[in-house]
Amino acid sequence: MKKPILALALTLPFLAPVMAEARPVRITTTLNAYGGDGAYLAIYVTDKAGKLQQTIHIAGGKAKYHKHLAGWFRQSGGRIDGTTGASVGAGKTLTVSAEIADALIDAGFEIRVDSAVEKESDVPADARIPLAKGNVGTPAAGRGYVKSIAISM
Amino acid sequence: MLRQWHALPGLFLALLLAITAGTGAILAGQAALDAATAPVVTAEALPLGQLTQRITGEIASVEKITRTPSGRVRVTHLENGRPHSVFVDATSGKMIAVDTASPSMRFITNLHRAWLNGDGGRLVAGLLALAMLVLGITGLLMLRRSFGGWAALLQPFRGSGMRRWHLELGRIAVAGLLLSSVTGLHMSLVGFEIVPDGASPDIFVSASGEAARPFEQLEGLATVSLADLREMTLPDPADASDPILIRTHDFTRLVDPATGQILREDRHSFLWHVRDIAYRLHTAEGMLGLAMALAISAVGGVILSLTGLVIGLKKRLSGSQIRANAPVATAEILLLYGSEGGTTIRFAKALHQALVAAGRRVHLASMNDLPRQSPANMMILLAATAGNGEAPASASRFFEKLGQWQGSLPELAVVGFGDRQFPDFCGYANAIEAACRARGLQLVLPTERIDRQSVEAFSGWTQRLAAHLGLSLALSFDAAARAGQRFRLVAREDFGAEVQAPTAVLRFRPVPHFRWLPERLQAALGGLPRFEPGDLVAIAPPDDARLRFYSIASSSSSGELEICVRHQPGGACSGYLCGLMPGAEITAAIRANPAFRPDEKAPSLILIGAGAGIAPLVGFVRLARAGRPVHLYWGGRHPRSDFLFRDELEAARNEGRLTRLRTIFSRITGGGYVQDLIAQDAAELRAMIAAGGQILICGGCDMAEGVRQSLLAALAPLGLDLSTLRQSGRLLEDVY
Repeated sequence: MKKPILALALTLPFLAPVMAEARPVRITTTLNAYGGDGAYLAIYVTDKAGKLQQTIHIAGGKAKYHKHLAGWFRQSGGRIDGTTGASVGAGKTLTVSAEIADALIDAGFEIRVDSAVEKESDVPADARIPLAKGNVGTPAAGRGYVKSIAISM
Repeated sequence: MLRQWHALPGLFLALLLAITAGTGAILAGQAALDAATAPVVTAEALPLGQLTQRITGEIASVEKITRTPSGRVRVTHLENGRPHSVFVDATSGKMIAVDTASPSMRFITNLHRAWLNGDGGRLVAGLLALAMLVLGITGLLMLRRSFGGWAALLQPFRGSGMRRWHLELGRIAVAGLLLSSVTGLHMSLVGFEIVPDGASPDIFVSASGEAARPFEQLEGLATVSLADLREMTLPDPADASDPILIRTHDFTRLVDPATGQILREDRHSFLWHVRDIAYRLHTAEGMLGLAMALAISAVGGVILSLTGLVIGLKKRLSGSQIRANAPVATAEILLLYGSEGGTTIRFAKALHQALVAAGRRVHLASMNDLPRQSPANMMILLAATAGNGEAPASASRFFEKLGQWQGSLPELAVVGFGDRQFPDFCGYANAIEAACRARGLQLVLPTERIDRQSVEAFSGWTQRLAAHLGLSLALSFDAAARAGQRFRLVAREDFGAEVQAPTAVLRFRPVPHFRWLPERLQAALGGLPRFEPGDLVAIAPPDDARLRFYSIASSSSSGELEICVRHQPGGACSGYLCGLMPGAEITAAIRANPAFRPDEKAPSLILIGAGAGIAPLVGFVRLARAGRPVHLYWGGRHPRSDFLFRDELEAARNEGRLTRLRTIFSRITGGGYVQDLIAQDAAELRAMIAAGGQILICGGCDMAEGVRQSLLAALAPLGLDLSTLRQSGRLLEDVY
């Protein structure tokens, strides 16, 4: 499973001058109007089995609550190699853009969103959508606080 | 100092504290309701694994199982893309009820803990908890100081009105409020990570990833009973490596859903337990008694905040705060007052101001606030007398405090305030003089006994004090009155010019301190003066410090202050007042005069006066209870010139509110003085007085002396003398 990354890591230094092997991907996460406080979200790239590849965005400023984004936290240990921002209110939409390596697209990888609301529930892998060009324009539903997730690239 | 720590946060944060306490009361009430309706968890509850198996059989997508402090089992699951909570039966695992966190309770919770506004609001909530703690502690210390020892807190309080409410509620609610504020403060400090929350380090372990087995077969669950459980988070079905998380009172444990092995177990640290206890005591979830106690004390907190606000505002509106008061530790002079109605405080303030202006550091306080020691080299006591030589309210504990005095012995000066009409004139001042001498304090000035708030006598004593201290003291009662009240003249009527007794009836309206506040609110806050007929108004003309007192004819409920001023030849104040035209404003202060009021129980009233002395008497006629005989005897000079209030009095007589109107005039043929009327009606008056009638006399000294002679003669057959009548309150005089 690690092979594409490993291959990329090995070849990247040599290919650097000629490559443009990453592309911007826009991820739009819409929350249900669950009527509570703002939700903490972790948006990250995993393989099919859920193994963390890249953190894209952590929404929710207090690091001490990040452990409630359990799927992501268990693997990252709370280290954030993506962007951060404020928590997302009920019913609101969060759109983030990230450079994602071409090697991760159409190669069986997916975007996951963990969600957590203070004093309420933690929902690991609340929403999942495969990182495939064919999924552009077809949002996937979440199972918890996330109503839907959509990608465009 | 203590008072300021109490008053300042109280005044500025009162409304916020009231909201925090009010929402707290609702939340505690809800917790009490929850605890009261919670099911009893039987000891033979199922093992946790079996129960979990049953619950997951009943409900799909279970995320979390929580045992609430009140003993219910709450299951959180995802349904239709949203988390839902339900309560389930602790044995069958079947759903009992939906856990509906109502939007209104959510709103109240959010208002209580964060003012609906994230971290900023949480900070405010934390600071309010701190303020409540400070108010509780300073309030207790103040109570102890003014009642002497903690034991006195359990005894009934004296006092009345807002202050009484504040004190009574304070001692009931203080324990609950202190508990709520301490635990709330701790929760706030943990929230802002100033105090560590004691949680175990965030080390996550992964499960084996094999197929999960039924919960009842997992060994890691078997050793936990439902009674110990706090919460259990079931693994994410999409992630085979996600372990089961179990939190109990003692530990946090991660269990492999496939092998049942305990992957990791962390026992809770001391700090975790501290936080846990703080949280549980603050929310009182599942503890009926505590929840009810906290709810009651929080309601008390609301009322305390509001009564405190009113007391504080009143104090500031009435301008009764003391300027430039030196702290005890650095004071050269201790100036202590024992006041019953507030008059002595005014004298004390005027003296304080004069001493401060002369460069002395003076600590002004009530006699109850006598400290244990002070570097002061002089102690001045100004003491009123309550009733028969008893201590006034603010000196009730002076002797006890004096017994606790540990400082060196300062020089002593005592001024007593009283009324010569009463047998034990300045009795309390005599008692404190004796007690202070016994304690070894040296009197450096003879004790001055002041009759009915005589400003002249007090000024004279002040000059002797000034000579002793080697200072020049200027008593400015005008300054004390300046903090009082503005009045605007709205109407005047003139009488008596033709008979060389120019007299004006002046009607003023009070000018509110804050003109933009509605009058009713001002009155409620004490921003408008209150008075009854017979009370006095103290007025000083501009550029003259000496106050003159005039009897009031009206009641403050009428909205007007009505006085009668005889223009004395060369009189500075009467000349000033008689020269006023409608629209002019004066500064004046009300002096309550409860000693000169009709007794509600007396079967009949005999009102006797002359000239401008009619003012309080006409007020008593206005207030007279229907059916009670009221007889008015009044003397003037000429019926066509100085018959004050003629129309009103005749109307009252015609309507029957005034039983008899007896007037006499000195400048007409066959005329005379009011004492002549008394002599004429001696038999009738004797009968009324024998039946318990009350006599009220108002007017000049000469008239009063003449009336006394006539009364004495009239009463002789009864064997009654005037001092007996005075002692029983059936003869009252307001003589000038």
